[in-house]
Amino acid sequence: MTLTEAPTRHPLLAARGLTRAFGDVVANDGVDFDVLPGEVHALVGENGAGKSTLLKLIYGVHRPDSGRLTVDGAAVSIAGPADALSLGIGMVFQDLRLVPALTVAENVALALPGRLRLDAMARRVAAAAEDYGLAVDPLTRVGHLSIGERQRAEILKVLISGSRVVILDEPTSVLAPQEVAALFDVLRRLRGLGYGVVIVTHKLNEVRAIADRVTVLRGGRVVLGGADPRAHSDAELVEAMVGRAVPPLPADRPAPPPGRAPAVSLRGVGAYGEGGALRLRNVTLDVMPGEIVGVAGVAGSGQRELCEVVCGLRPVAAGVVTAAGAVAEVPEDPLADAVVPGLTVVEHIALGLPGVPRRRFNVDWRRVAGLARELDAAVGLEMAPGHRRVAELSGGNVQRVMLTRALGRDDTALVVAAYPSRGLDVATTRRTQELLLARAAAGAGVLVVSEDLDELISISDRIAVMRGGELAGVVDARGADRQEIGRLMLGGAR
Amino acid sequence: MLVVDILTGGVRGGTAIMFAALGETLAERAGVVNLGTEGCMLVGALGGYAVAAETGNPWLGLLAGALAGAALGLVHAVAVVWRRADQFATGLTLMFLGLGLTSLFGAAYVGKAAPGFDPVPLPLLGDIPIAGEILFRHDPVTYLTFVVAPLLWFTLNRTKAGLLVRAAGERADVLHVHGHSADLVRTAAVTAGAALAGLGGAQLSTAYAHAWFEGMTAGRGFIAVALVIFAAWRPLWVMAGSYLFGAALAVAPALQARGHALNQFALDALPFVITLVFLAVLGRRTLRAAPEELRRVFAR
Ligand SMILES: Nc1ncnc2c1ncn2[C@@H]1O[C@H](COP(=O)(O)OP(=O)(O)OP(=O)(O)O)[C@@H](O)[C@H]1O
Ligand SMILES: [Mg+2]
Repeated sequence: MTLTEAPTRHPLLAARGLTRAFGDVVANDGVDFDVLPGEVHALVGENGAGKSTLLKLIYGVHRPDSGRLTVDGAAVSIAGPADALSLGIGMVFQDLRLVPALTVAENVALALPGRLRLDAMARRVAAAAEDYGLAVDPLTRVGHLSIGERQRAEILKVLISGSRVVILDEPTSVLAPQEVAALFDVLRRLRGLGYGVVIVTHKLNEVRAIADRVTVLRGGRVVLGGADPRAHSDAELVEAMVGRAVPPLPADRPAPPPGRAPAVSLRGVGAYGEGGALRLRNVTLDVMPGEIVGVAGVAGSGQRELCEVVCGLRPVAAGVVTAAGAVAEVPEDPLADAVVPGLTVVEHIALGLPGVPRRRFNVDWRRVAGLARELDAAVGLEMAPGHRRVAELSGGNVQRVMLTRALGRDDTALVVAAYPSRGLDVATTRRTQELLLARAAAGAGVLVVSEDLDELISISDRIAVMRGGELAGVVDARGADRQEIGRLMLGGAR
Repeated sequence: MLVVDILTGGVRGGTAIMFAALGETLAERAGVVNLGTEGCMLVGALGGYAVAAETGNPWLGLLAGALAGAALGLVHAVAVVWRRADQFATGLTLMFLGLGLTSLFGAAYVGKAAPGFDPVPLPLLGDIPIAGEILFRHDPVTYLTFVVAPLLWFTLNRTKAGLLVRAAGERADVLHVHGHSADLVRTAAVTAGAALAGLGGAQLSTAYAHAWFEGMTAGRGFIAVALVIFAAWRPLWVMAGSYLFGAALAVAPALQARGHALNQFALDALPFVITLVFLAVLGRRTLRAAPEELRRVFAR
């Protein structure tokens, strides 16, 4: 890029002074934001900072209370997603908007005006897939695709419907590292073709890997607008997001006490997966009290089945699982498995309490709310207010409720946490890791599944690597060799 | 031959059920259950018969039957889709509404003659031994079903309108994201589906029974709703299933014509017994094929 070229790049999209409140929560407060052609613009900030809200205002899902939008320099009014689409703005939602029972081509056709010609549509999808490097088969039903493929299908849909601004809300939070790399290749290609790309993420290394500019939101306001990420250190960006510095995790911790019975012990365990195929094979593993065992592996290598078997949620098909006591669980997919969207935060906490306080025959909700507040204060993950319905919480705030419920208990012999920091901002991720370390220090065994090798290495004592449903190896986390772990994950030649 | 008689009767008797079941398929693919199908058939049967009697034109009767069914279906759509009323309660209410309306206005037509549809053997095709007798010596309305089922299949799977219907039944929120109204799509699907049920009713009175009498649909509307489930929401399976039920209905007359004395009640119950057996056997498996929005309705 030359210096003389920069000022002539008019924004594809510009938002000025966008404000939107939900009740007394001001989710966006006078936000300025713009997207240039041929750039990847990262939008970062804490959970509840208003990132998704800003995107939804741009995409017409919500109307702003005040502020204006221009597209190609002309003032526009966006009353709904259809308006946004016709202005060339496409959005890939955190929870993808695809119909699982329809094929990829049919899903794309749904987004386009005009008659349905399935053959022509399939060819068009295949051609676009080729052009943009988004490998996905047009005639497969979306329900049969992996999450990464679904995301590619969604991006294709957005591109084929003529969008020049492509907005992605936390696209990487559901992807395995290899899939993230593939997604970033696609985004780079789009940037090269002059598209404007907006991406929300909580990971600084992703900002560094892909973003030309970064905007930081905090409490609904812009604290850093369209800055060059290279001009700021990690610590500066984190401080902009959180409002204070976040110290690193303590490097040294006590070794687990020896000579006690395992918190959970698996001997030759096998289990069937959702489709009836054997997804867990001959796993032998002990988690000792006070020990954190990290589980690494390519997505779908049996991590889910392992967690469910340990928690007693899935029948054991072979072998023996022996647990020393109660288990607290952070589920892999809270929205699908553990959340009742219509219930409030307090009601979710009540579901996890060992005994619910009663007054005569009724649940004593006043006391439950008090307990929830105490729990929140003790755990320190800053849950949303107790009366809020989980359905209206931001993604990261749902995760906080799950974590507070599971990590707030001190009566469990074992904690099973699947992707504990998924969707969490930097400070909350740190706090969560501290909580896991604290549970271990208090004598509980901890099993953590994560896609993030850095996270696993920094908090685990040992790392169990899974491949194709089997335990490919267990390595010491202290001084662990990434290459070695990667080799175990993929099963390549030594 | 007994088997040929039963199969011929199956095609003839299955027609009314097929119209209704295809209509219900359309509604359910859009995510709405219409338990009032029985009521829609009844108003269609009376409307069709009455208009045929008054105008002397059975084709106008068919049209009237479809319109009467559609009118009742529109009531269901407004209540369920726009007012968010409970689908099952509204559907049952609709059934009784149809029953009440038709016994009120139908009394004058009981025993009254009206022009109807008579069998018209198709040239050549009708002369094929056995198959010709079973399939091609029927009234024109029955021939109509030969094209309606494939047509519905084509509409659902190969047209934009059908795509919108399927999307409404699977993920209404996705439809909304693309600027379509799931409410409108559902209203159209339920109304058109009820029109088909009305057509089925009109076939019953003007081509099958050549008469109107109170409650003449005799539970066919409910069989149609059940049939949709065990045909896994697929028009062509609905077609096959309708003939099966038609054949079950044809067993009694075929045996009686041969002088067999059989327990009438047992024979009348046969189609319902078949329905129950199918639902019990296929229950879980078919529910997995159900449109997602519908599963939400069932699994509350
Ligand atoms: N539909 C809604 N009704 C009520 N409040 C809402 C609604 N949508 C968002 N909010 C509130 O607005 C604030 C901003 O939410 P938003 O979803 O924009 O956050 P976010 O930055 O995307 O967070 P995350 O990183 O957790 O996804 C939060 O306090 C949230 O609870
Ligand atoms: Mg968000």
